[in-house]
Amino acid sequence: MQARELDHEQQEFYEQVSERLGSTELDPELLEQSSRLIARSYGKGIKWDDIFPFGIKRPDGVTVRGRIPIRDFGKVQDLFSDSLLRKLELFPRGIKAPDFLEVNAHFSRQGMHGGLY
Amino acid sequence: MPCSTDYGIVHLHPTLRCNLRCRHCYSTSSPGAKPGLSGARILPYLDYLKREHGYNVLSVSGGEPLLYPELPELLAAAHEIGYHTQLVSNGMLLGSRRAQRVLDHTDSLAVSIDGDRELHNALRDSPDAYDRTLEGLAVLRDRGANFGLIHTLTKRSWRLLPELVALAHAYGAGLLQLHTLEAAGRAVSAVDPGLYLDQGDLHRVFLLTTVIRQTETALKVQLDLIHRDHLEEHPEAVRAGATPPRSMRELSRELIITETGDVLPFAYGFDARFRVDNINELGYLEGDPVGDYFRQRGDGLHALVRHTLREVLEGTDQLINWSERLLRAAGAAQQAVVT
Repeated sequence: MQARELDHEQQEFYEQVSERLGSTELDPELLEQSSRLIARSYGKGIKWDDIFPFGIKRPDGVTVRGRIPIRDFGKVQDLFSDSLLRKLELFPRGIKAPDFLEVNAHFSRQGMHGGLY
Repeated sequence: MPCSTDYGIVHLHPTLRCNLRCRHCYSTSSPGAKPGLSGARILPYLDYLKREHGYNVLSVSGGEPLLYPELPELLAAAHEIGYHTQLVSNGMLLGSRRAQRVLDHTDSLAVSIDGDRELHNALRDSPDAYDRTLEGLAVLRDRGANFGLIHTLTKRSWRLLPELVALAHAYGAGLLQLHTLEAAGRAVSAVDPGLYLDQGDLHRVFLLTTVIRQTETALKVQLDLIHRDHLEEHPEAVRAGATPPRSMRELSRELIITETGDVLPFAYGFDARFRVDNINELGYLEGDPVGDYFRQRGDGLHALVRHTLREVLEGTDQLINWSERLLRAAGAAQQAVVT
C-alpha cells in the first residue's frame, strides 16, 4: 500500500466507534446479538459501516448500520429475526434511482416498534 | 502470494534466539536461545514438501528470524525452489546491511506491534523496542516493501485500533492482522492475567473491526476470530466438514517446523503426540513420511478437528480463536484419539 496519512475524519470516526463500544454499561447480550447478525450476514453482500449505542442517560440499545444492494436484500432478510431486534429501518439510497438499501437494525431490551419498516 | 484457495504454508522456526524477551511470546524465545536448525537440513525438506505435498509459502519466524545466521541463503534457495517467502519479525533489526540482503529475497513481511509506545515496550520488556520498530517500518516504507502489521490484542490495546490503522497507513502497510493474546509459552507466567480478553471484549473488537474493515479501502484488516454461528454454517472454513480431506495439505494448510526439527500440524505448540515428522530423521530421502502420516493418522486428526468443532458448538462462547481451541483440544485428547 502507498504510504499516506489516514484521513483525519476517518480516524476520528474510528475513535468514536471505539469510544462508544468501550462503554462498560453496554449490555453484553446486545453486543452478542449485534455481532451475531454481522457474522450470519457474512458473504451475503451487506456491508456494516457503523455501530452506535443509544439510550437516554445510559445505553440500553445498540444500532448496527449497513448497506446492501437492493437485489441482495432477499439473501439477508431472514437474518433479522433475533429476539432483541426491536426495529429494522430500511432506506432506499442511490443517485437517480435507488440501487441499495441503508439498513438500521436496532437491538434493545426495551419495547420499541416491532416489525419491518 | 498464491491465491487464497491454493496455498500451503510452512511456518519455520529455525531458531528461538531473539533480541527481545517478550512477556507474551508463545515460543518463549530469548537472547540466550540456542542457534537451532541447520540450513542444510531445512532446504531439502522444504523441497520435499513443495514437490510431494504442494506447500508453497515459507513463513520464517523464530525467535527473531533476522538473527538466524543462514537466513539470506535460506530465503534465496527457497525462492529458487518456488516458495513465496515471508518473514515474521519484530522489525527492530531491519536497518542493518545484512537485513537488506534478506529483504532482497523476501516477498512479504509481518511486523509485530503491540499498541502504542508504552504498551508495546511493556510487553516487549524493552524501553526502546517501539522506536526501533518504527525505524524498521520506515525502512520497509522506503523500499516500497509488501508488508503487514501483526497486533496482539489485549484488554488494554483493542481501543488503540484506530491508532494502529493510522500507523499502518503512515508506513504503507497493506495488512493489519489482529490476533488475541493467548495463554501460551512465556505468556502463561509473565503476562498480567488482566490483559486477556473476555467474550464481552471480543464482541467489542469484532464490531469495531467490522466497521474498520468495511470502511477501509486500502488496508486489509484481518481478525483471527471466528463466530460460532459462522462455524456452524461453514465447518469447512476450519476443515471440519464431513468430507474427509484427501491430502495433508487439505487437512492442515499449515505445517510447523520447530527449532528442534519437529514437524507439527496446525500451529506452533501443537501437542507433540501429533508430531508428523522430524526433519533430522531424514525419512523423506527414501520415503514419504508426511504422506505416510496422513494415510495412517489423517482420519484421527480430522476426527480431532471435528470433535473440537462439536465442543465449540456445544459451548457458550460465540467468538472463537480457532487455533487456540484446537491446540487445547489436542492437549486434552485421550491417547486412543492420538494413535
